[in-house]
Amino acid sequence: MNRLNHPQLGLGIGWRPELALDIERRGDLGFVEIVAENINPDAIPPPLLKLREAGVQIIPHGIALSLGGAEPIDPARVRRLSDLARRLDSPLVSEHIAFVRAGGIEAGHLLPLPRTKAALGVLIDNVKRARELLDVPLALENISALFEWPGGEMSDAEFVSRVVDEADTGLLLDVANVWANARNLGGDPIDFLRQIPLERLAYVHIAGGEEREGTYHDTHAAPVPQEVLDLLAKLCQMTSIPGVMLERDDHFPDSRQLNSELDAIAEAFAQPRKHSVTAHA
Amino acid sequence: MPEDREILASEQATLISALHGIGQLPAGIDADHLKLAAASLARKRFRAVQKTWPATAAALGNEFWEVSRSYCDQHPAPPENPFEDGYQFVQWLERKRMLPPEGRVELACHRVTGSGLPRILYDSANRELLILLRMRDAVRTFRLKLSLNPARLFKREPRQPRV
Repeated sequence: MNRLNHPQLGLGIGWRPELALDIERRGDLGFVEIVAENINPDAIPPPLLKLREAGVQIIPHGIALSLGGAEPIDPARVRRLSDLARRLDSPLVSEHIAFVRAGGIEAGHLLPLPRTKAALGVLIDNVKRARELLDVPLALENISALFEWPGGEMSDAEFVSRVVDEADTGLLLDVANVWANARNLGGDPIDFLRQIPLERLAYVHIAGGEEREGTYHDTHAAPVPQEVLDLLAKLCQMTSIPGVMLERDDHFPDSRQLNSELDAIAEAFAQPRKHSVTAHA
Repeated sequence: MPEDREILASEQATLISALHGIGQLPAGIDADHLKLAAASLARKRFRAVQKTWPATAAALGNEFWEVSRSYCDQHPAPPENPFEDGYQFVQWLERKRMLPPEGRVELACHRVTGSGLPRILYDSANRELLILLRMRDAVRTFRLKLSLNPARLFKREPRQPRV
């Protein structure tokens, strides 16, 4: 990916059938993201095609490639992403810095990787293989984790930075995950933002979650907490981001709530940039 | 590099098994954190089941999450398809006599869809006989209101003595 030439995406949202009507009615969306595993490239839902015709960009987002898995990646899964991107004329596709299966068992969840040089090597190798099979650029997303592996040889920020730098991909930064990890596992979310290569930023995810028994769960089923919106505003002061989108997967809000949430994100996105805080370690 | 993959493969397999309650905890991972991750996994799994079996989930209310958690402990490895996962869960509830009436109707509906054979259920709360038939691609439910309470057929109340 040309690091200085990320496509401008603007304000976006994760497209879900339950939100399709509100998405269609909202006139200021520059892009939507679709979960690649839920959309058949041969039977793309008509509302998506309509959005595409209206000039809204569509980004296929994979959740099952298991790029951090020890098993070699499945070319058929990459081809599906590639097919969707081709049919929807997508500027890029995205996936996660995670693994989702091992030893023949599906986790049903994005799981964190050991932050070791060995695991990083396997991940980079898989990402490079996936890139060879893709016709469009790939952006990788930082996940939220509820536990850490022992024997970590680098910080989360360093691990994320090294994979996107060494595999030469874009960065899909999930600010809610940065905030959730700092809250659940410790660390400073602003430090995390200062340590990652923001020039690789392809777009940003933001979402809400819920507090259960002292732990914050990034469920995408609740409004975005103010602290996460503040973190987005901070990020927008540090760098100009190509796009930001809301992820909402459950307990869908009514039109008014959804629009006010998108307005709040658009407001944070419009923060004037302060050059002084753009310190990149 | 191949050795790295082998070591990682074994670490990841141990971790996923532990999350599903199989085998030992991987060394050095905080057991409480892993327990939280397992609970979160079960919740995510049953959010998908909730969507494919909405009537059963709604009828169970909050109990849905408690019951599904204990189901996950006993059935750690789910089928990839949430509907199938829910189908097995609902049948498990039926065997345990924990399936609410709305769940019985939902299950019967899917059974009629699958087999094409009609089914008859009795809804004791509303004293209705439900007849489920597959017509073209949809299952239609016919309700017959019973004026007679079948329970009374078997439990006759003592007659009042004539004065």
